[in-house]
Amino acid sequence: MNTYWLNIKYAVSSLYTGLKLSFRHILEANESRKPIGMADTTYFQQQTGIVTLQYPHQSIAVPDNGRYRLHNEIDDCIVCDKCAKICPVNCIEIEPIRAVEEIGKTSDGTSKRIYAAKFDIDMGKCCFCGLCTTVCPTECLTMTKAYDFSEYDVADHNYAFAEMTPLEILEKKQKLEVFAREKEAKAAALKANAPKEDTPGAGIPKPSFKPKLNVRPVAKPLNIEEKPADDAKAMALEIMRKKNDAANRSAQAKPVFRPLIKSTETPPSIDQEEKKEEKDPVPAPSKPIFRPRPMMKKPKDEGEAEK
Amino acid sequence: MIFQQVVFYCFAATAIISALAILTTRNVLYAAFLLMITFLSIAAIYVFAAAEFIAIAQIMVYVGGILVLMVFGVMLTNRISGAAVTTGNHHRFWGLFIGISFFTLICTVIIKANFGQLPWIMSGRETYTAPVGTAINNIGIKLMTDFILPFEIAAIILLLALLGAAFVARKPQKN
Amino acid sequence: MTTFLFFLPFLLVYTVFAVYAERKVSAFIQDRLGPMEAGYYGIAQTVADLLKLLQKEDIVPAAADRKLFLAAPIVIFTVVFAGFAVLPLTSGYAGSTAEVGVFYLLAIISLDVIGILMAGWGSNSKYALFGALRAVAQIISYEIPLGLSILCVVMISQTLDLQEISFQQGIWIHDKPTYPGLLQENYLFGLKALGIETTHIGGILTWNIFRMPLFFIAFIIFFIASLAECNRAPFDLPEAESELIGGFHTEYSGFRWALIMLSEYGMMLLVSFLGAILFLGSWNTPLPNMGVVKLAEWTSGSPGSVAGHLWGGFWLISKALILVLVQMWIRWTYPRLRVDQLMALCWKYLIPASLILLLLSGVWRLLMI
Repeated sequence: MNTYWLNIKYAVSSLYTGLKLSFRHILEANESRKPIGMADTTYFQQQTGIVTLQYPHQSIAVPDNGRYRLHNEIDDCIVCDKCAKICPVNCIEIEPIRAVEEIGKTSDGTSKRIYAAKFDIDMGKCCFCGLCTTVCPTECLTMTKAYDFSEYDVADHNYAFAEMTPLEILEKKQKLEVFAREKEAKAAALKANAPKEDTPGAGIPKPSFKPKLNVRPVAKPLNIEEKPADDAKAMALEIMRKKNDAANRSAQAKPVFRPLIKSTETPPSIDQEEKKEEKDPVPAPSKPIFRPRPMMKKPKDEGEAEK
Repeated sequence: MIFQQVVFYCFAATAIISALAILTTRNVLYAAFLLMITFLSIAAIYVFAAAEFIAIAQIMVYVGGILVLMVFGVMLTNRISGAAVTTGNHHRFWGLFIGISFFTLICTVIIKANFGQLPWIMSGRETYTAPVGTAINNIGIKLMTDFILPFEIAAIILLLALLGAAFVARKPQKN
Repeated sequence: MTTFLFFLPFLLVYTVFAVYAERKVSAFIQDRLGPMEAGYYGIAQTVADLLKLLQKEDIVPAAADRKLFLAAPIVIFTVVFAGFAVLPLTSGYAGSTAEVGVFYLLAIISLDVIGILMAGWGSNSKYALFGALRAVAQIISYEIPLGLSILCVVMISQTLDLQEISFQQGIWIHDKPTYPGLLQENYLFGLKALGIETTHIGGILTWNIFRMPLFFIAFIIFFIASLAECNRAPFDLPEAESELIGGFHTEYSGFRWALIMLSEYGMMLLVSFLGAILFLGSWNTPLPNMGVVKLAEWTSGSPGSVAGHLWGGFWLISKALILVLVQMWIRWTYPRLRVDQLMALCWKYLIPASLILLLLSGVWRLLMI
């Protein structure tokens, strides 16, 4: 019997509290949140009132280091195919055409030796992990702060960055064919002592991930002809080495990804942030090996060992 | 007056037609919903007889209570057994025969009796006075004076039914 | 006829705005904005929704019982709309002047169950059937506290006529020709022994909720039970979007669904009107006469006059609409009850409380003589 009255008392008081609470929210609904971004100092100030924004009409400012839609600065791209290989969802499609000679330099001085006949990024597939921007040696592939890019047709999510016309592509292909035939003929003629084009790359230690300091060409045309599986393994190892390098030389390390704007200096705050982020992988340098798992053979043993 | 008569006959016809439909339909659920129409038409006829209270009580008790209970039962039975609940018409001849005989019997008796000329009805017509107050007022007063005993007995029977239902439905006690 | 002339258009317009209000109230309680795009501040949102609904295909599921399925929304709406027939709107405009108004409304509410059963059965869907079963169990159970709390008022007012009940709660108590046995004057809290006559003071002091202070509890019981009768949250088990996907109207679409929604909002309005009439002074003003400041007379015209119509309609409709708003406020505050909690609340708490109130009302009535 006692619980009966206690139940009533509890019900009345809790119902009253609930009504008071929701009524307070109705009263507070006369003010709305201002569309201010995280950067604003008053961002956390307004605790009451309506929180929704009328999005297309108002929107919160995206921070400058927002990482949403991918952008490739094709003039700086050396078509190394690393981004396409590391992509876990295969959203980048590249069709390279080897050039017969150096076709120019990127803005950081790296030689370009491959034409991009096709450089498509399907943002409909993209999972926004940012791995491609991490591996990009010339930092031409970046994530921009554009986030509102919904389309009526799913095909419109495919962004083509290559600028070559079909005619150009055909021309370059033919050139390459001619060159290859000539080379074959030459090779047949000077079989004995002709220097192989392939050899120089193999023995030389991998370039660090600081393309600006490193004038040496990073990508070799050879890479493209290699088998994907081997390539992936090599690349994974390379990443690992890079991470180790980064751990060793964290003081002089370069940011892994930097803003698109190359001329201006990076603001100090971002720099710090990046350094912090860069240090994160250090404690577990062996981890990145697992990432491209489906393509790799070596880690399998480890996986089984774990089981 | 003629309008009221038309409306009255409409309701009467609805009541009869829906009652016949109850007999002919094979779907028990349809029969139950048709019964609702019958009840409502009869309630309307009560209203024409200036017995609003009875009309509403009819809706309340029969439609709101009994009919819902019936539909509920049919629905539960049907869903549990999985088969549609239907009824069949058996012994049509004998049913029709007995029904029609009783109908003719009652009709003859009523016509023979010559209701309109019965002495107490004649005298009632002459001495009729409109009741003081409203019908409900009078019903209430009658219930609390002349018919207090039946009223109270009905209340006690209902209370007993309630207690019995609660007793049947309660959890079996331990020890 | 007056019902058709006033309440049918009123009901349609009210529903359009009530749905809008519901969405806005829910939005504000949840710190959202609600509809904002259609029209100024989203005011035309419901109209747009309604137009969309009317254009939609009238789908009848293949396995459904076609006749029952098609008839059910009409039955539901007819029943709810019939309830408006006996409502008095102003002191001189009373709809059907049936003496059994209150009783009639109770019957109407129980009739609503039939329509819901038809819809639930006719849909031939397990969700709809569950919804219908729950609706019936709930509505039948909550009819008892609802009826008992209404009976308390009837006991004090000594009449089933809604217009008579209205007249008793204000300064125009003498303006209705009535039969012997009814009160002709009001006292503070209904107690003649206090000796403070409020017949000519009127206002909130003569409302039923003040004439009999325990009616405050009766009103709360009435309000809770009426929420359950309307299948409104926190008693929306028959609809329960999250578990039954709409309950008895799961299978409905387009116009018929709109009709069911219309009846739901109509039911809300109906019970709000009933609550306002029975407890909150009906079309009487809440402002009392104070000495020479005759607020009650200034804010209500004499019965039958134009001012009487306007003031009466204004007060009654505002009271009913405020109650509807309170229903929405409650809906968006409380979570849904479980079935056993629902039944426990009704049978263990509301019914004993309303039975005690019934007894006390009888005692109080004797004190009022």
